[in-house]
Amino acid sequence: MASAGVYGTDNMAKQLSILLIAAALLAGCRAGRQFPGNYYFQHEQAIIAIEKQYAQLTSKRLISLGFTDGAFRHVLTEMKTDSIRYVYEFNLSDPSFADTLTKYGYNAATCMSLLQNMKAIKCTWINKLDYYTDKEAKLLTFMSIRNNVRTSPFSPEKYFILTFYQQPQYYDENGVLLDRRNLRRARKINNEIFYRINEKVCYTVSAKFR
Amino acid sequence: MGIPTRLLFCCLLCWNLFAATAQTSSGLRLNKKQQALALLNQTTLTASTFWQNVNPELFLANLKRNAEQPVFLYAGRNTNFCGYAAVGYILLEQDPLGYVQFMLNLYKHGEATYASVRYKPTAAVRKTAGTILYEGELDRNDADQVFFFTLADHYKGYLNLLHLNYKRDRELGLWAATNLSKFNRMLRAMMQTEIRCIGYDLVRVKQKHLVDSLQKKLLHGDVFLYLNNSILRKKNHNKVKKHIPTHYVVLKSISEENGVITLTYWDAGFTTLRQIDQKALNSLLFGISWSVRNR
Repeated sequence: MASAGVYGTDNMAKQLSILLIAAALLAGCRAGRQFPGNYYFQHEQAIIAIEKQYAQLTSKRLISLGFTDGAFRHVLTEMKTDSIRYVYEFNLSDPSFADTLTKYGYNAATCMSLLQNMKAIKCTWINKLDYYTDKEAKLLTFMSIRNNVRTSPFSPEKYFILTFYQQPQYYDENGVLLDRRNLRRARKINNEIFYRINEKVCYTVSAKFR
Repeated sequence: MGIPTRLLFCCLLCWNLFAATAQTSSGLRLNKKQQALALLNQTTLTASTFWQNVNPELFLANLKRNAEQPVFLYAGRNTNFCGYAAVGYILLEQDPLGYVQFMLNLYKHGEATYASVRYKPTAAVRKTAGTILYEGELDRNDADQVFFFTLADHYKGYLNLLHLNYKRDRELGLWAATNLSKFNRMLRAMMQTEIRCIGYDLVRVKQKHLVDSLQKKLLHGDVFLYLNNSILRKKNHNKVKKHIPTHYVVLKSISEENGVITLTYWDAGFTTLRQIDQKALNSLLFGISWSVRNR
Protein backbone atom coordinates (compact mmCIF):
# COMPACT_ATOMS: atom_id res chain seq x y z
CA MET A 1 0.00 0.00 0.00
CA ALA A 2 2.78 2.33 1.05
CA SER A 3 4.64 1.82 -2.19
CA ALA A 4 1.42 2.37 -4.12
CA GLY A 5 0.89 5.61 -2.13
CA VAL A 6 4.42 6.83 -2.88
CA TYR A 7 3.94 5.91 -6.49
CA GLY A 8 0.62 7.82 -6.51
CA THR A 9 2.22 10.94 -4.98
CA ASP A 10 5.14 10.80 -7.45
CA ASN A 11 2.74 10.39 -10.32
CA MET A 12 0.65 13.34 -9.15
CA ALA A 13 3.77 15.50 -8.76
CA LYS A 14 4.85 14.56 -12.27
CA GLN A 15 1.43 15.37 -13.70
CA LEU A 16 1.37 18.65 -11.79
CA SER A 17 4.79 19.67 -13.09
CA ILE A 18 3.76 18.76 -16.66
CA LEU A 19 0.64 20.89 -16.23
CA LEU A 20 2.68 23.79 -14.83
CA ILE A 21 5.19 23.61 -17.68
CA ALA A 22 2.37 23.44 -20.25
CA ALA A 23 0.67 26.44 -18.64
CA ALA A 24 3.94 28.39 -18.62
CA LEU A 25 4.53 27.56 -22.28
CA LEU A 26 0.99 28.54 -23.19
CA ALA A 27 1.39 31.83 -21.36
CA GLY A 28 4.67 32.39 -23.17
CA CYS A 29 3.13 31.69 -26.56
CA ARG A 30 0.10 33.88 -26.00
CA ALA A 31 0.13 37.13 -27.89
CA GLY A 32 0.60 40.32 -25.94
CA ARG A 33 -2.36 42.54 -25.15
CA GLN A 34 -3.92 43.63 -28.40
CA PHE A 35 -3.96 47.24 -29.49
CA PRO A 36 -7.13 49.00 -28.45
CA GLY A 37 -9.50 49.90 -31.29
CA ASN A 38 -9.11 53.60 -30.51
CA TYR A 39 -5.27 53.57 -30.64
CA TYR A 40 -5.26 55.65 -33.81
CA PHE A 41 -7.51 58.32 -32.32
CA GLN A 42 -5.43 58.52 -29.13
CA HIS A 43 -2.31 59.29 -31.20
CA GLU A 44 -3.93 60.82 -34.27
CA GLN A 45 -1.99 64.10 -34.35
CA ALA A 46 1.42 62.43 -34.00
CA ILE A 47 0.57 59.77 -36.59
CA ILE A 48 -0.67 62.30 -39.15
CA ALA A 49 2.42 64.48 -38.57
CA ILE A 50 4.71 61.50 -39.22
CA GLU A 51 2.81 60.56 -42.37
CA LYS A 52 3.06 64.13 -43.70
CA GLN A 53 6.74 64.40 -42.85
CA TYR A 54 7.40 61.09 -44.59
CA ALA A 55 5.42 62.20 -47.67
CA GLN A 56 7.60 65.32 -47.83
CA LEU A 57 10.78 63.25 -47.49
CA THR A 58 9.78 60.85 -50.27
CA SER A 59 8.40 63.42 -52.71
CA LYS A 60 11.46 63.07 -54.98
CA ARG A 61 12.83 59.62 -54.20
CA LEU A 62 11.76 56.67 -52.08
CA ILE A 63 13.25 55.70 -48.74
CA SER A 64 12.14 53.18 -46.14
CA LEU A 65 13.00 53.77 -42.49
CA GLY A 66 12.71 51.67 -39.38
CA PHE A 67 14.21 50.55 -36.10
CA THR A 68 15.69 47.09 -35.72
CA ASP A 69 15.92 46.98 -31.92
CA GLY A 70 13.58 47.32 -28.97
CA ALA A 71 15.39 50.39 -27.63
CA PHE A 72 14.89 52.31 -30.90
CA ARG A 73 18.61 53.03 -31.27
CA HIS A 74 19.48 51.17 -34.47
CA VAL A 75 18.05 52.53 -37.69
CA LEU A 76 17.48 50.45 -40.80
CA THR A 77 17.28 52.39 -44.00
CA GLU A 78 16.51 51.28 -47.55
CA MET A 79 17.27 53.87 -50.21
CA LYS A 80 15.99 53.14 -53.69
CA THR A 81 17.51 54.41 -56.90
CA ASP A 82 16.49 53.33 -60.41
CA SER A 83 19.00 50.52 -60.52
CA ILE A 84 19.82 49.51 -56.96
CA ARG A 85 18.43 49.37 -53.43
CA TYR A 86 20.93 50.36 -50.73
CA VAL A 87 20.30 48.83 -47.30
CA TYR A 88 22.24 50.21 -44.34
CA GLU A 89 22.00 49.97 -40.56
CA PHE A 90 23.20 52.82 -38.38
CA ASN A 91 23.19 53.89 -34.79
CA LEU A 92 20.75 56.82 -34.59
CA SER A 93 23.43 59.00 -32.96
CA ASP A 94 26.12 58.07 -35.51
CA PRO A 95 27.09 61.25 -37.47
CA SER A 96 27.89 59.18 -40.56
CA PHE A 97 24.15 58.38 -40.86
CA ALA A 98 23.29 62.01 -41.72
CA ASP A 99 26.25 62.13 -44.12
CA THR A 100 24.99 59.03 -45.92
CA LEU A 101 21.49 60.47 -46.24
CA THR A 102 22.89 63.67 -47.72
CA LYS A 103 25.14 61.68 -50.07
CA TYR A 104 22.08 59.88 -51.49
CA GLY A 105 20.18 63.16 -51.92
CA TYR A 106 17.81 63.06 -48.93
CA ASN A 107 17.13 65.90 -46.52
CA ALA A 108 19.04 64.64 -43.47
CA ALA A 109 17.43 67.13 -41.03
CA THR A 110 13.88 66.11 -42.03
CA CYS A 111 14.87 62.47 -41.84
CA MET A 112 16.39 62.77 -38.35
CA SER A 113 13.37 64.70 -37.10
CA LEU A 114 11.06 62.06 -38.59
CA LEU A 115 12.98 59.28 -36.84
CA GLN A 116 12.74 61.11 -33.48
CA ASN A 117 8.98 61.51 -33.99
CA MET A 118 8.69 57.83 -34.91
CA LYS A 119 10.63 56.84 -31.79
CA ALA A 120 8.29 58.95 -29.62
CA ILE A 121 5.23 56.86 -30.57
CA LYS A 122 7.15 53.54 -31.00
CA CYS A 123 6.66 53.60 -34.73
CA THR A 124 9.04 50.89 -35.88
CA TRP A 125 8.77 51.05 -39.69
CA ILE A 126 7.54 53.32 -42.47
CA ASN A 127 7.70 52.81 -46.22
CA LYS A 128 5.80 53.19 -49.49
CA LEU A 129 4.15 50.11 -50.99
CA ASP A 130 2.81 49.73 -54.49
CA TYR A 131 -0.65 48.26 -54.99
CA TYR A 132 -2.68 47.71 -58.12
CA THR A 133 -6.24 48.66 -59.00
CA ASP A 134 -7.36 47.41 -62.41
CA LYS A 135 -3.69 46.71 -63.22
CA GLU A 136 -2.85 50.36 -62.53
CA ALA A 137 -0.03 51.05 -60.06
CA LYS A 138 -0.62 53.24 -57.02
CA LEU A 139 1.36 53.93 -53.86
CA LEU A 140 0.27 53.75 -50.24
CA THR A 141 2.15 54.63 -47.06
CA PHE A 142 2.71 51.68 -44.72
CA MET A 143 3.39 52.42 -41.04
CA SER A 144 4.02 49.93 -38.19
CA ILE A 145 3.76 50.74 -34.51
CA ARG A 146 5.19 48.35 -31.98
CA ASN A 147 3.11 47.06 -29.09
CA ASN A 148 5.03 47.61 -25.87
CA VAL A 149 2.74 45.55 -23.66
CA ARG A 150 3.74 41.88 -23.76
CA THR A 151 2.74 39.13 -21.36
CA SER A 152 6.15 37.42 -21.41
CA PRO A 153 9.55 37.95 -23.05
CA PHE A 154 8.84 34.99 -25.34
CA SER A 155 5.39 36.02 -26.47
CA PRO A 156 5.35 36.99 -30.16
CA GLU A 157 5.54 40.66 -31.07
CA LYS A 158 2.45 42.41 -32.42
CA TYR A 159 2.41 45.50 -34.59
CA PHE A 160 -0.34 48.01 -35.21
CA ILE A 161 -0.20 48.56 -38.97
CA LEU A 162 -1.63 51.64 -40.63
CA THR A 163 -2.02 52.17 -44.37
CA PHE A 164 -2.62 55.61 -45.87
CA TYR A 165 -4.17 55.98 -49.34
CA GLN A 166 -4.38 58.98 -51.63
CA GLN A 167 -7.92 58.13 -52.72
CA PRO A 168 -10.98 57.18 -50.62
CA GLN A 169 -11.31 53.39 -50.28
CA TYR A 170 -14.29 51.02 -50.27
CA TYR A 171 -15.37 49.10 -47.17
CA ASP A 172 -18.07 46.59 -46.30
CA GLU A 173 -20.58 46.98 -43.45
CA ASN A 174 -18.01 45.55 -40.98
CA GLY A 175 -15.37 48.07 -42.04
CA VAL A 176 -13.28 45.54 -44.02
CA LEU A 177 -11.19 47.17 -46.78
CA LEU A 178 -12.49 46.01 -50.16
CA ASP A 179 -11.03 45.66 -53.61
CA ARG A 180 -12.26 48.34 -55.99
CA ARG A 181 -12.92 45.91 -58.80
CA ASN A 182 -15.08 43.56 -56.82
CA LEU A 183 -16.82 45.28 -53.94
CA ARG A 184 -17.31 42.02 -51.99
CA ARG A 185 -13.65 40.94 -52.06
CA ALA A 186 -11.35 42.02 -49.21
CA ARG A 187 -8.19 43.77 -50.41
CA LYS A 188 -5.14 42.30 -48.72
CA ILE A 189 -1.89 44.11 -48.02
CA ASN A 190 1.03 41.85 -47.08
CA ASN A 191 -1.52 39.03 -46.93
CA GLU A 192 -3.47 40.77 -44.13
CA ILE A 193 -7.07 42.02 -44.08
CA PHE A 194 -7.37 45.70 -43.17
CA TYR A 195 -10.14 47.64 -41.42
CA ARG A 196 -11.50 51.14 -41.72
CA ILE A 197 -10.31 54.06 -39.62
CA ASN A 198 -11.53 56.66 -42.06
CA GLU A 199 -12.05 56.73 -45.82
CA LYS A 200 -8.31 56.97 -46.57
CA VAL A 201 -6.73 55.23 -43.57
CA CYS A 202 -6.97 51.54 -42.57
CA TYR A 203 -5.44 49.39 -39.86
CA THR A 204 -4.68 45.85 -38.88
CA VAL A 205 -2.73 44.04 -36.15
CA SER A 206 0.09 41.88 -37.50
CA ALA A 207 2.96 39.68 -36.37
CA LYS A 208 5.27 41.36 -38.92
CA PHE A 209 6.22 45.03 -39.05
CA ARG A 210 6.73 44.98 -42.85
CA MET B 1 63.73 32.40 -74.65
CA GLY B 2 64.19 31.97 -70.88
CA ILE B 3 61.69 30.24 -68.59
CA PRO B 4 60.33 33.50 -67.05
CA THR B 5 59.77 34.96 -70.53
CA ARG B 6 57.97 31.79 -71.63
CA LEU B 7 55.81 31.88 -68.50
CA LEU B 8 54.98 35.53 -69.14
CA PHE B 9 54.12 34.71 -72.76
CA CYS B 10 51.83 31.85 -71.64
CA CYS B 11 50.07 34.13 -69.11
CA LEU B 12 49.48 36.81 -71.75
CA LEU B 13 48.14 34.22 -74.19
CA CYS B 14 45.75 32.81 -71.56
CA TRP B 15 44.59 36.30 -70.61
CA ASN B 16 43.92 37.18 -74.26
CA LEU B 17 41.98 33.95 -74.76
CA PHE B 18 39.95 34.60 -71.58
CA ALA B 19 39.20 38.22 -72.61
CA ALA B 20 38.22 37.11 -76.12
CA THR B 21 35.88 34.43 -74.72
CA ALA B 22 34.29 36.89 -72.29
CA GLN B 23 33.83 39.45 -75.08
CA THR B 24 32.28 36.85 -77.40
CA SER B 25 29.98 35.64 -74.63
CA SER B 26 28.84 39.20 -73.85
CA GLY B 27 28.37 39.93 -77.57
CA LEU B 28 26.33 36.76 -77.99
CA ARG B 29 24.09 37.73 -75.08
CA LEU B 30 23.50 41.17 -76.59
CA ASN B 31 22.71 39.58 -79.91
CA LYS B 32 20.28 37.14 -78.28
CA LYS B 33 18.60 40.02 -76.47
CA GLN B 34 18.12 41.93 -79.72
CA GLN B 35 16.77 38.78 -81.40
CA ALA B 36 14.39 38.25 -78.48
CA LEU B 37 13.10 41.83 -78.74
CA ALA B 38 12.78 41.53 -82.54
CA LEU B 39 10.76 38.33 -82.13
CA LEU B 40 8.48 40.03 -79.61
CA ASN B 41 8.00 43.04 -81.88
CA GLN B 42 6.84 40.72 -84.67
CA THR B 43 4.49 38.77 -82.40
CA THR B 44 0.79 39.43 -81.89
CA LEU B 45 -1.18 37.29 -79.49
CA THR B 46 -4.87 36.53 -79.16
CA ALA B 47 -6.58 35.14 -76.06
CA SER B 48 -5.23 31.67 -75.27
CA THR B 49 -7.53 28.69 -74.80
CA PHE B 50 -4.97 27.21 -72.41
CA TRP B 51 -4.45 30.26 -70.18
CA GLN B 52 -7.99 31.59 -69.78
CA ASN B 53 -7.11 34.39 -67.37
CA VAL B 54 -3.89 35.61 -68.95
CA ASN B 55 -4.21 38.91 -70.74
CA PRO B 56 -2.30 38.66 -74.09
CA GLU B 57 -1.31 42.35 -74.06
CA LEU B 58 0.00 42.22 -70.49
CA PHE B 59 1.74 38.93 -71.29
CA LEU B 60 3.61 40.43 -74.26
CA ALA B 61 4.43 43.67 -72.43
CA ASN B 62 5.80 41.63 -69.51
CA LEU B 63 7.97 39.48 -71.82
CA LYS B 64 9.36 42.59 -73.49
CA ARG B 65 10.15 44.26 -70.17
CA ASN B 66 11.83 41.05 -68.92
CA ALA B 67 13.96 40.74 -72.05
CA GLU B 68 15.00 44.39 -71.81
CA GLN B 69 15.54 44.51 -68.04
CA PRO B 70 15.76 41.09 -66.35
CA VAL B 71 16.52 42.81 -63.04
CA PHE B 72 12.83 43.72 -62.62
CA LEU B 73 11.56 40.12 -62.69
CA TYR B 74 9.42 40.13 -59.57
CA ALA B 75 8.27 37.16 -57.47
CA GLY B 76 5.57 38.92 -55.45
CA ARG B 77 5.41 39.98 -51.82
CA ASN B 78 4.26 36.81 -50.06
CA THR B 79 4.63 33.95 -52.55
CA ASN B 80 7.20 31.15 -52.39
CA PHE B 81 8.33 31.89 -55.95
CA CYS B 82 11.80 33.27 -55.07
CA GLY B 83 13.66 30.12 -56.23
CA TYR B 84 11.88 30.14 -59.60
CA ALA B 85 12.55 33.87 -59.92
CA ALA B 86 16.30 33.32 -59.36
CA VAL B 87 16.30 30.67 -62.12
CA GLY B 88 14.26 32.97 -64.41
CA TYR B 89 16.59 35.89 -63.81
CA ILE B 90 19.66 33.91 -64.88
CA LEU B 91 17.77 32.44 -67.83
CA LEU B 92 16.88 35.97 -68.97
CA GLU B 93 20.45 37.13 -68.55
CA GLN B 94 21.97 34.16 -70.39
CA ASP B 95 19.38 33.20 -72.99
CA PRO B 96 16.66 35.84 -73.50
CA LEU B 97 15.78 34.46 -76.94
CA GLY B 98 15.34 30.93 -75.60
CA TYR B 99 13.22 32.30 -72.74
CA VAL B 100 10.96 34.27 -75.11
CA GLN B 101 10.51 31.32 -77.49
CA PHE B 102 9.73 29.03 -74.54
CA MET B 103 7.18 31.45 -73.10
CA LEU B 104 5.47 32.06 -76.43
CA ASN B 105 5.16 28.31 -77.06
CA LEU B 106 3.84 27.82 -73.55
CA TYR B 107 1.21 30.49 -74.13
CA LYS B 108 0.15 29.27 -77.57
CA HIS B 109 0.21 25.51 -76.96
CA GLY B 110 -0.20 25.14 -73.19
CA GLU B 111 3.11 23.22 -73.12
CA ALA B 112 6.67 23.85 -74.27
CA THR B 113 10.17 22.42 -74.29
CA TYR B 114 13.28 24.12 -72.99
CA ALA B 115 16.69 22.40 -73.03
CA SER B 116 15.08 19.05 -73.89
CA VAL B 117 12.73 19.21 -70.89
CA ARG B 118 9.02 19.23 -71.64
CA TYR B 119 6.87 21.45 -69.39
CA LYS B 120 3.15 20.73 -69.42
CA PRO B 121 1.42 22.63 -66.59
CA THR B 122 -1.77 21.18 -65.18
CA ALA B 123 -5.21 22.70 -65.77
CA ALA B 124 -5.36 24.03 -62.18
CA VAL B 125 -2.30 26.25 -62.56
CA ARG B 126 -3.22 27.29 -66.11
CA LYS B 127 -6.54 28.49 -64.74
CA THR B 128 -4.91 30.43 -61.88
CA ALA B 129 -2.13 32.19 -63.82
CA GLY B 130 -3.24 35.76 -64.50
CA THR B 131 -5.44 35.95 -61.40
CA ILE B 132 -2.83 36.66 -58.73
CA LEU B 133 -3.84 39.61 -56.57
CA TYR B 134 -2.26 41.78 -53.88
CA GLU B 135 1.30 40.70 -54.67
CA GLY B 136 2.53 44.08 -55.90
CA GLU B 137 3.73 44.26 -59.48
CA LEU B 138 3.21 40.52 -59.96
CA ASP B 139 -0.54 41.33 -60.19
CA ARG B 140 -0.06 42.63 -63.72
CA ASN B 141 2.99 40.57 -64.75
CA ASP B 142 1.02 37.81 -66.43
CA ALA B 143 4.07 36.24 -68.12
CA ASP B 144 5.88 35.95 -64.78
CA GLN B 145 2.84 34.28 -63.27
CA VAL B 146 2.82 31.75 -66.15
CA PHE B 147 6.57 31.10 -65.73
CA PHE B 148 6.51 30.68 -61.93
CA PHE B 149 3.41 28.49 -61.93
CA THR B 150 4.84 26.29 -64.69
CA LEU B 151 8.12 25.69 -62.84
CA ALA B 152 6.40 25.17 -59.49
CA ASP B 153 4.03 22.66 -61.08
CA HIS B 154 6.83 20.78 -62.87
CA TYR B 155 9.58 20.50 -60.24
CA LYS B 156 8.85 18.72 -56.98
CA GLY B 157 10.95 18.15 -53.87
CA TYR B 158 10.28 16.61 -50.48
CA LEU B 159 8.86 19.89 -49.19
CA ASN B 160 6.04 19.58 -51.73
CA LEU B 161 5.06 16.00 -50.83
CA LEU B 162 2.05 17.01 -48.73
CA HIS B 163 0.84 19.51 -51.31
CA LEU B 164 1.58 17.97 -54.68
CA ASN B 165 -1.50 19.31 -56.45
CA TYR B 166 -2.28 22.97 -56.84
CA LYS B 167 -5.25 24.52 -55.02
CA ARG B 168 -6.13 28.19 -54.64
CA ASP B 169 -3.48 30.26 -52.76
CA ARG B 170 -1.01 27.36 -52.52
CA GLU B 171 1.65 29.58 -54.10
CA LEU B 172 1.91 31.07 -50.60
CA GLY B 173 2.62 27.71 -48.99
CA LEU B 174 4.46 24.42 -49.29
CA TRP B 175 3.18 23.66 -52.81
CA ALA B 176 5.61 26.27 -54.16
CA ALA B 177 8.45 25.74 -51.64
CA THR B 178 11.89 24.87 -52.99
CA ASN B 179 14.48 22.83 -51.12
CA LEU B 180 18.15 23.07 -52.11
CA SER B 181 18.28 19.84 -54.10
CA LYS B 182 15.20 20.79 -56.14
CA PHE B 183 16.70 24.23 -56.76
CA ASN B 184 19.90 22.66 -58.10
CA ARG B 185 17.88 20.33 -60.33
CA MET B 186 16.08 23.34 -61.80
CA LEU B 187 19.37 25.18 -62.35
CA ARG B 188 20.93 22.17 -64.11
CA ALA B 189 17.90 21.75 -66.36
CA MET B 190 17.44 25.40 -67.26
CA MET B 191 21.07 26.58 -67.39
CA GLN B 192 22.48 23.51 -69.19
CA THR B 193 25.76 23.85 -67.39
CA GLU B 194 27.61 22.19 -64.53
CA ILE B 195 26.17 23.23 -61.17
CA ARG B 196 28.08 22.61 -57.96
CA CYS B 197 26.73 23.07 -54.47
CA ILE B 198 27.64 23.07 -50.82
CA GLY B 199 25.16 23.20 -47.96
CA TYR B 200 22.01 21.57 -46.65
CA ASP B 201 18.40 22.46 -46.00
CA LEU B 202 18.83 22.54 -42.22
CA VAL B 203 22.56 22.95 -41.57
CA ARG B 204 24.43 26.21 -42.08
CA VAL B 205 27.43 26.45 -44.37
CA LYS B 206 30.60 26.23 -42.31
CA GLN B 207 33.54 27.36 -44.37
CA LYS B 208 36.70 29.25 -43.58
CA HIS B 209 37.44 32.33 -45.69
CA LEU B 210 33.84 32.43 -46.92
CA VAL B 211 34.17 35.81 -48.63
CA ASP B 212 37.28 34.73 -50.59
CA SER B 213 35.60 31.49 -51.55
CA LEU B 214 32.48 33.30 -52.85
CA GLN B 215 34.65 35.78 -54.77
CA LYS B 216 36.43 32.86 -56.50
CA LYS B 217 33.13 31.24 -57.41
CA LEU B 218 31.90 34.51 -58.93
CA LEU B 219 34.90 34.47 -61.28
CA HIS B 220 33.74 31.16 -62.77
CA GLY B 221 30.03 31.78 -63.18
CA ASP B 222 26.78 32.59 -61.40
CA VAL B 223 26.46 32.15 -57.65
CA PHE B 224 23.18 31.49 -55.82
CA LEU B 225 22.74 31.79 -52.07
CA TYR B 226 20.19 29.84 -50.06
CA LEU B 227 19.64 31.81 -46.90
CA ASN B 228 17.58 32.62 -43.85
CA ASN B 229 15.81 35.77 -44.96
CA SER B 230 14.59 36.64 -41.49
CA ILE B 231 18.17 37.71 -40.71
CA LEU B 232 18.80 39.55 -43.97
CA ARG B 233 15.35 41.13 -44.07
CA LYS B 234 14.09 41.33 -40.52
CA LYS B 235 10.30 41.46 -40.19
CA ASN B 236 9.78 41.26 -36.42
CA HIS B 237 11.63 41.76 -33.15
CA ASN B 238 10.94 38.32 -31.69
CA LYS B 239 13.68 36.88 -29.49
CA VAL B 240 12.96 33.32 -30.66
CA LYS B 241 13.86 32.99 -34.32
CA LYS B 242 13.46 30.19 -36.83
CA HIS B 243 16.81 28.87 -37.95
CA ILE B 244 15.79 27.70 -41.39
CA PRO B 245 16.57 28.90 -44.90
CA THR B 246 13.64 30.52 -46.66
CA HIS B 247 15.01 32.45 -49.61
CA TYR B 248 17.19 32.33 -52.74
CA VAL B 249 19.19 35.26 -54.10
CA VAL B 250 21.71 35.64 -56.92
CA LEU B 251 25.02 36.98 -55.65
CA LYS B 252 26.53 39.72 -57.83
CA SER B 253 29.54 40.75 -55.76
CA ILE B 254 30.97 40.45 -52.26
CA SER B 255 33.80 42.25 -50.50
CA GLU B 256 35.09 42.70 -46.96
CA GLU B 257 36.64 45.72 -45.32
CA ASN B 258 37.37 46.14 -41.61
CA GLY B 259 35.06 43.25 -40.73
CA VAL B 260 32.14 44.72 -42.69
CA ILE B 261 30.94 42.57 -45.58
CA THR B 262 29.30 44.33 -48.52
CA LEU B 263 27.00 42.07 -50.51
CA THR B 264 25.38 42.99 -53.79
CA TYR B 265 22.71 40.52 -54.81
CA TRP B 266 19.69 40.20 -57.02
CA ASP B 267 16.61 39.56 -54.93
CA ALA B 268 13.42 39.10 -57.00
CA GLY B 269 12.81 42.55 -58.43
CA PHE B 270 15.78 44.50 -57.12
CA THR B 271 19.53 44.57 -57.04
CA THR B 272 20.34 45.19 -53.41
CA LEU B 273 23.53 46.37 -51.75
CA ARG B 274 23.65 45.34 -48.11
CA GLN B 275 26.30 45.56 -45.42
CA ILE B 276 26.48 42.87 -42.75
CA ASP B 277 29.08 41.46 -40.38
CA GLN B 278 30.79 38.07 -40.59
CA LYS B 279 28.62 36.62 -37.80
CA ALA B 280 25.44 37.53 -39.66
CA LEU B 281 26.76 36.04 -42.91
CA ASN B 282 27.65 32.81 -41.14
CA SER B 283 24.28 32.54 -39.46
CA LEU B 284 22.17 33.26 -42.53
CA LEU B 285 23.88 31.10 -45.14
CA PHE B 286 22.61 27.52 -45.63
CA GLY B 287 23.58 26.77 -49.21
CA ILE B 288 25.76 27.96 -52.08
CA SER B 289 25.13 26.79 -55.64
CA TRP B 290 27.35 27.96 -58.47
CA SER B 291 27.78 27.36 -62.15
CA VAL B 292 31.17 26.64 -63.68
CA ARG B 293 30.34 28.10 -67.08
CA ASN B 294 33.50 30.16 -67.60
CA ARG B 295 36.03 27.51 -66.61
